[in-house]
Amino acid sequence: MIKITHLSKSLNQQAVLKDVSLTIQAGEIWVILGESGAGKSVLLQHMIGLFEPDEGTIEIDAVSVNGFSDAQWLLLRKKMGYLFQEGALYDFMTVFENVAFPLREHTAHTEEEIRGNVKRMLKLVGLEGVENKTPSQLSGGMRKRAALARAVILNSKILFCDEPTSGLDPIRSRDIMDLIKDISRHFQTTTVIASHDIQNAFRIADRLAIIRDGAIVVQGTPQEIRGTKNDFIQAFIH
Amino acid sequence: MDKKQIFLFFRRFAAETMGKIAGLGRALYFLGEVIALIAKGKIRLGEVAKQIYEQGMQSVVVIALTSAATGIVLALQGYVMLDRFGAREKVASLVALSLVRELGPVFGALIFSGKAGSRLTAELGAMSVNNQIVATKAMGVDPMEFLVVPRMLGCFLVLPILIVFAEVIGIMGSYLIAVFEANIPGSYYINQTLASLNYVDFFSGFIKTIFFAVLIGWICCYQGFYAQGGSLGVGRYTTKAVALAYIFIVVSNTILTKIILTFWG
Repeated sequence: MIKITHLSKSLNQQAVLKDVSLTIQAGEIWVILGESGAGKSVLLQHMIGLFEPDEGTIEIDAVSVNGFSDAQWLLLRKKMGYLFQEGALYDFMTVFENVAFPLREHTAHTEEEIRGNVKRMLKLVGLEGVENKTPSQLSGGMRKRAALARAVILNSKILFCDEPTSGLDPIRSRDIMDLIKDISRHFQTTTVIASHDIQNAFRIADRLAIIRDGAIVVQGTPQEIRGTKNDFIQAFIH
Repeated sequence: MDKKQIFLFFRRFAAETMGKIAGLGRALYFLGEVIALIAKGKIRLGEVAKQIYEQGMQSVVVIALTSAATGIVLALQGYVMLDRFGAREKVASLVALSLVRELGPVFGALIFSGKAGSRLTAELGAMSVNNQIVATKAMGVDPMEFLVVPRMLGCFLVLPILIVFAEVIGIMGSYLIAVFEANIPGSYYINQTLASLNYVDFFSGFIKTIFFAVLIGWICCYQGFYAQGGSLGVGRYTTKAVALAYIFIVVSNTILTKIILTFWG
């Protein structure tokens, strides 16, 4: 469903991604693991068109998105959800308004349908009763849940999550990763997560890629990666 | 300075100049994008109304106070000066023309950029550094259409209303001084005020107001939209936006005054 071939990118004359190739099948949960600054977020942002590759190609649903115009990307992004590191909820809207935003923008639902959909989605992510609160009144974990609800409210076919566990304690981290897995299975989304949370990544991923200094060092199932003899991989995952 | 230092100096100068030119190009492109969206009718009326209310409500009290004080001070000073030449009744014309042609638009625009303009930059800047602008794109929504066009249009529509209001308040302030301090009859003062103003005076002030509104909206939204560097960056970009708005208002006012006086007198 997402095919990346020989992708390279430099920012400020520094190579951020080097010859990255990945093939992500529909319905899979992929975790891109790596240290801070390894290039995980930049890779994710290429898949949603926030960066244009210097070299290489990206195909989504067998269509090359290289050279897509802003209008084409805006159209394609309606099928995608993106969970940002800090949630990126609008401060000037309530939780309800934030989650309802994509529905208001991209559907012709009535107010009653929107209300019903948002309530169902907030229940699914365990956030009942906070509809009228603003993002600043929520804890970090709750903000991420609300942002996740907003990311998938349009039944997105592809879900991208950028460091979903950053800033959370181990229990909340586990909860949010489990929630992403449940949501992905529930909506049958293809999910790509950029994370440095090794333990949870191995727990929920169908496949993983480990990235170092912008290059993919290894990719495969959790079992395959655990069996890799590479010293860096062994040091990284243990 | 040896040759190497001179070379480095010119290289840095050239790089900085190129950076400024590129920045100006980006800012012009930003304005072009906003104008194109408005021309295509991509206007969210609800958001525009919200901006008019917020920007207007935020600035109206300060603008009214400043304007009233300006009118009062102008009338006090004007009446004392003009009295020396036996022309105290001309104070109405002095205040009306000063406020409508010059002081109302300029003072109003300066205060508006300090109040509403800084808010625009800080709001968009906070959204930029917290990824809310990127998130808007990621949700398939054009952030220029959703966030910038309503703010710039709000600015464009609310400033002229505020300036007219400020001018009325200023004249009312001067009226109080004229009647109770200079003992000029109220009806005479009002008649003198209306008689001294013609359409060129209104036109002159109005053209300036429209120009300032576009400048403030453009500078403040552009600086906010591209703000970087976390909360410190938001503060830096907000200060920069207000300072730039002040400079451009003052400089463009001089040029506009010269042009208006040359063509319309």
